[in-house]
Amino acid sequence: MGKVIGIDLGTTFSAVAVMEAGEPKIIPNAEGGRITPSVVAINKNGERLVGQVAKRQAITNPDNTIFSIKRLMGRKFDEPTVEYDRKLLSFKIVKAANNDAWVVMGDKEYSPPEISAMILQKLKTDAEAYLGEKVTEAVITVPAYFNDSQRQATKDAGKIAGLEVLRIINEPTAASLAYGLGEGKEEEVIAVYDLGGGTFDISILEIGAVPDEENKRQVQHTVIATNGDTHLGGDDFDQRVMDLLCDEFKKDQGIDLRQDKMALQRLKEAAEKAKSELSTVQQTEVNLPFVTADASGPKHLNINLTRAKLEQLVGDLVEKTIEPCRQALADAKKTAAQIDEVVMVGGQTRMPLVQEKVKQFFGKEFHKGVNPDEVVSIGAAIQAGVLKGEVKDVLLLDVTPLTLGIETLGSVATPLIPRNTTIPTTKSQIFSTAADNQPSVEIHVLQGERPMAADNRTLGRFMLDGILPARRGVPQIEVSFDIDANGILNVKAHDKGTGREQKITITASSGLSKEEVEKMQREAEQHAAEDAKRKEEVETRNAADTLAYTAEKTLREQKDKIPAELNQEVETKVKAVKDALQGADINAIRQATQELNEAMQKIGAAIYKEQPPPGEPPPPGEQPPPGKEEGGEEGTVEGEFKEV
Amino acid sequence: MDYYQVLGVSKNATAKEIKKAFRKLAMQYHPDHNPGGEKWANEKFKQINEAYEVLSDPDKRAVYDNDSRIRAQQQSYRPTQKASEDLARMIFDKDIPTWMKILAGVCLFCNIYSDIYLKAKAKGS
Repeated sequence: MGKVIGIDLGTTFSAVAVMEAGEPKIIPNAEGGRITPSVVAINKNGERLVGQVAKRQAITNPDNTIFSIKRLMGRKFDEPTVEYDRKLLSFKIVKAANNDAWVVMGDKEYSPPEISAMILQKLKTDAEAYLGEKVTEAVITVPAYFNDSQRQATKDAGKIAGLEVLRIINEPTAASLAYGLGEGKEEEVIAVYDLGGGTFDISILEIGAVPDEENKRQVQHTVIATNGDTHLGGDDFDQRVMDLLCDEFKKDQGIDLRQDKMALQRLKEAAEKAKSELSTVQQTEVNLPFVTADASGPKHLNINLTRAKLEQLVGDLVEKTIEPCRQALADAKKTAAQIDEVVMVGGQTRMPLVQEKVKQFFGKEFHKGVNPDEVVSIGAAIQAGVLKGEVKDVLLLDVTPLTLGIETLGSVATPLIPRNTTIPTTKSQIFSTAADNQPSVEIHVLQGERPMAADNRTLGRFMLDGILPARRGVPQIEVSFDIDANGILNVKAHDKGTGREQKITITASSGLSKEEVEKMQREAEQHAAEDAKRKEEVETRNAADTLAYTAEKTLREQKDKIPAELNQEVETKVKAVKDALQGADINAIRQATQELNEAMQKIGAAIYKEQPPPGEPPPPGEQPPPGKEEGGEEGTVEGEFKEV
Repeated sequence: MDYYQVLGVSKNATAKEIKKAFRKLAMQYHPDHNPGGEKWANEKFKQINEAYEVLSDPDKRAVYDNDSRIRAQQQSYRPTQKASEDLARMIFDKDIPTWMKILAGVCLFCNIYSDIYLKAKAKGS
């Protein structure tokens, strides 16, 4: 049975973990890091880069470096958040045929799931290298407040990357699984405050001990309420700092850095760094020499930033996280005092102001036992273990984060499954017609908290027809909603009079059709194969180049020891290799390298023939008799040798 | 479906007992703990879930207890009572014009709605 990996597919960083001998463990990436930047790029040679290498070249390649792709997952181009992101992100965002927001990288348009798939592919490859086996299944986390299409887009990304996504779980829930339950404790109510690079989540969970038949302790995690903002995170904090730097620089030098993409990318990195530093020190200096230039010469940016100033810049952003906390507590029917532990997740929770606000709101210190960057992937690995039957003493009871319902008379959204309902669940209600002799009804499935249908998200719609003529309000149509453990929603309408029935399974509302996902999957596979081929090509070229260099060096250094004819042969073959390297035919390079290699071996044989056999040095000046020589396969070589 | 029976607790079980019973059953029947038998476990868990949802909420539990008492007292408990409440919620026919929807939204409980609709339809045809 293959291993199932747990993946935290984050806005700025991703991490992957696996269960090993009953314990969850972070899998380091190929570069040795425990987390991988969620950055993808195409460089000038058309090579695709993912992770640290992509992040490192972002400054010089801002147009073709994609970061924070999670912000665009499952989003329409015209959404206000996308409009905001277009200003925030350096790469081009375009409107796809299905109105989704897509991105441009290296002259090609990509859907956000495709870009995410590139990150997943890297995590998968690195995990395979670490585990020494193929990995085909995964549990991936998403923000608790992700809607249906954002979740579906994440699943699509997994599929494109060649991973079967066994379950999508919520990030705060994963954090809870990793947190566990204190030794000797019967029950705890925890709040997971998760402020990552792009999203904010707050979840209230109940963790309880449940003894099994043999009185062995099992732990159950029950989500009781969740809330958040899918568009609030560390990126927004960075943006505020960048805005300040741009404004100050403009005031000072009269140049608008916002017009200079390369400068902007440097500013972004500097802003992020300054922000992080201010979590530990009170003051820092943002120093960017040669940030830009005008007619008078190069310009340098040098601005002092204090923690107080930063807190002033982002105060409202931190404040924005408090209302969802309040809502989550209200939904959970708990007071702040009833929360036993507050678990902080996500890099942005390292900021002292965030910690202070959270402490103020909940009236207690937060739990410091978990690593905010790793805890989510650890939890995902635990859930992967549960689904594979490897972990038997843990159970997660998840909830549906948003209310589900249908549109009824007056364009009203009527809820069937309220938010925070434990899943799997099924709910049904009886509806009727609005007009006399109405022959059909339309079931318009909605997701969201707003009272009017139009303000909520459409998940799907279908018609139930063949209703017998009757006065309005007489026909009885039972509408049932059913959500399974995977969160997949089935909606059924049943006419109690005629027995007619219609149903739909709410699936890909991510904007990508099944065919598109499959096509992208094939492309990704092809790319993986091409990647392997390209790697082999590069290696062949490097080997050829190295050999040609060594051959020339040998010819130069050992000139007097090499027979002229052999010298000639090697020179010709070096030239052949160099010519082949100019071309694109990899087989020609391989062939030429092989031939040069053979010729070089002759040199080796010729030179070593000169050397005394180890252990028995011949008397000085004496040449070994030709008859005792080895390796003289060709008479010419031997003949040449005699002349020396 | 008797919710008390589903959770295996007595009618006067405390909130704590109900929670304990639910947790134990959830551990046993949740589809995640029943690989291979997910479909069956799904159905079983949904019942447990529904029972717990009602019995864990003091208000819902009181209504449920009251309903059960009425049901026991009157042999002829009419399930239509619940249905008639739901009838106020009606689903649109797709071809009702928007202005009608707006009007219908305003006078949800007026009888004139159907008359207007019929007249409009007669005019149209």
